[in-house]
Amino acid sequence: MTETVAPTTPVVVEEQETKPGFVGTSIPRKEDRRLVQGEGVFFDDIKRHGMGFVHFVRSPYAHAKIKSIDVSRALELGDVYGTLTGDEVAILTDPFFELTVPPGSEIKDYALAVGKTRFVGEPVAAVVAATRELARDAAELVEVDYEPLEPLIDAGPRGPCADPA
Amino acid sequence: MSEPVARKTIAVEVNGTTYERDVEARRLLVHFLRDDLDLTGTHVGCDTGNCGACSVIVDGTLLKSCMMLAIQADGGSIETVEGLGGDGDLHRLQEAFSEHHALQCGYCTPGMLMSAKALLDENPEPTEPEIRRAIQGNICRCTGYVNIVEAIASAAEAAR
Repeated sequence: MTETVAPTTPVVVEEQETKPGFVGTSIPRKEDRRLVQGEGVFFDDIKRHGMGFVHFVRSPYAHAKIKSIDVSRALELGDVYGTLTGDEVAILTDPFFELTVPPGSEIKDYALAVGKTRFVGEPVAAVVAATRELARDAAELVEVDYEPLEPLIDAGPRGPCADPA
Repeated sequence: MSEPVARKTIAVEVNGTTYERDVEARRLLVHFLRDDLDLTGTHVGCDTGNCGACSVIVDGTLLKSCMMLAIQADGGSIETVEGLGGDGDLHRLQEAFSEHHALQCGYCTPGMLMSAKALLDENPEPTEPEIRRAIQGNICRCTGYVNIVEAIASAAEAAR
């Protein structure tokens, strides 16, 4: 047998009895004040002592094999903290997670171009230095040897490809 | 003709304070504001003059500070988002942006505010198309533009 128990508070609340709450009400955002005053702290706004600036060496080719990257001249400049190439990224990190189904999910790509470049402007190396300007100067001293390949410049059906990436 | 210089000492007035700094000739105005003066309210969104996050007012003219060299502003007077309002009070545009939910992440907001300020300085009673035209150089990727347009209209209204 189930006994019924009367609820301590009425199940149906008359409209005039509701207390003002969050639902249906405009709540002022507590973060607005700093954001409209330019005092929000975004990642790029953070400064640390001895912080470096990065500049990327980018591909001038739409499609090319990267035969070699020589960063030695960049590293010779004073106050250049270090360099990173695609091959090093491939050793140090896992490929990006591909949020799609095959064949797209079979693509292996990294934060820097590994082995070859697939669009103009793709970053192939990174240079970190004490100042923005120095990083840029040092990046210009990085020598990349490319072997240009035929770029794919239109979308359309393709035959089987030996190298889908 | 004088020799090109790699560095120059410049004096720029920003929000009423004059700053003197030795800068590289190639330094962009936005990096001068952010790195040399620590005024990080002016944001870099694209570095290519498309997004408007770095908009400031230089000698009364609205411009994108990533499209101008710091040395070009030598002797000039600049208004940035940090100079809006004053003494802890918000500018009416800042109030209106908050009231009308014209910001979400707040990244584009300083640029939007400066574009809106430049508009209202020149045209205190803008029509909606005029407001839309005034912020056409500013990209917002989260709030959308409707609330921003409403905020600017209401700030103009409040000033009347």
